[in-house]
Amino acid sequence: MTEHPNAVMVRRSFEAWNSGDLDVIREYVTDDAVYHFAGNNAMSGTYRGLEAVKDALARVSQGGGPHAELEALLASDDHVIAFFHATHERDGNTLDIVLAQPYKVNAEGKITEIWFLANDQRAFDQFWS
Amino acid sequence: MAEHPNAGLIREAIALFNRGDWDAYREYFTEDVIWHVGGNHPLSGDYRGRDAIFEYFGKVRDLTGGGLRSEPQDILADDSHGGVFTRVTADRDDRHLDVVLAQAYRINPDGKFTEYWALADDQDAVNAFWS
Repeated sequence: MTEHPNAVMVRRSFEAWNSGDLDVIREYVTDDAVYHFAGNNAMSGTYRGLEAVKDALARVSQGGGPHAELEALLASDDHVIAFFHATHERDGNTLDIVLAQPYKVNAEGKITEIWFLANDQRAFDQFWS
Repeated sequence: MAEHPNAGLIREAIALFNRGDWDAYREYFTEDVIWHVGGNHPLSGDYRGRDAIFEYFGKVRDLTGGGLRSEPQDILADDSHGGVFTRVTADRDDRHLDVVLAQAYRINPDGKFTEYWALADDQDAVNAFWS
């Protein structure tokens, strides 16, 4: 079965993330995109607009961001859900968690909304605090 | 295209939840399932094990008079995962909730939920509703 175009788009965005290319995000995200970052840590909250989303991602990736290994991609015409492993080391702390990341996608195949959900929120919060 | 069996599974489970058919709903979960409830409110957090999760569902039912409804807008699935975008409505005293929840499921080969995440499009509204 051919992969859904929205799955292809998200797969490319992961490749860009892992290569450290943050500027490419504007190819995937609308100007008024909303980004929900769950949990209770320095990153938590809702970010509205491309610039706010870019700032948030730049903070996450400061000094080299987590590596994201896709476990599964589900896609329909309006939505995508990515499941992935995130691994990272920073200041002697190790992060190794699974995240579920639902997306809303518009008719042009661009992301309008992203949720970011960790399986071990406490580990995730501690890592980013 | 025919619906993936795991999409059908999620659709059935949500229908049972809406009907309050808890005994049948229990059958959709493994004993050691983990349920992540997003947000920053008294019900937020990680629930480990089916009993803990059904205690949480019991609280949701009691606080909303059994009136919380989930209407799936889109269900996505593969052999070991599922995802739902669902409109959730509920009333609690004079508070009204009307949000879209993004839900993600991990599903084992027996067709049972092993892990779940959920977060709303308007998490502030959810936090205010349960606080």
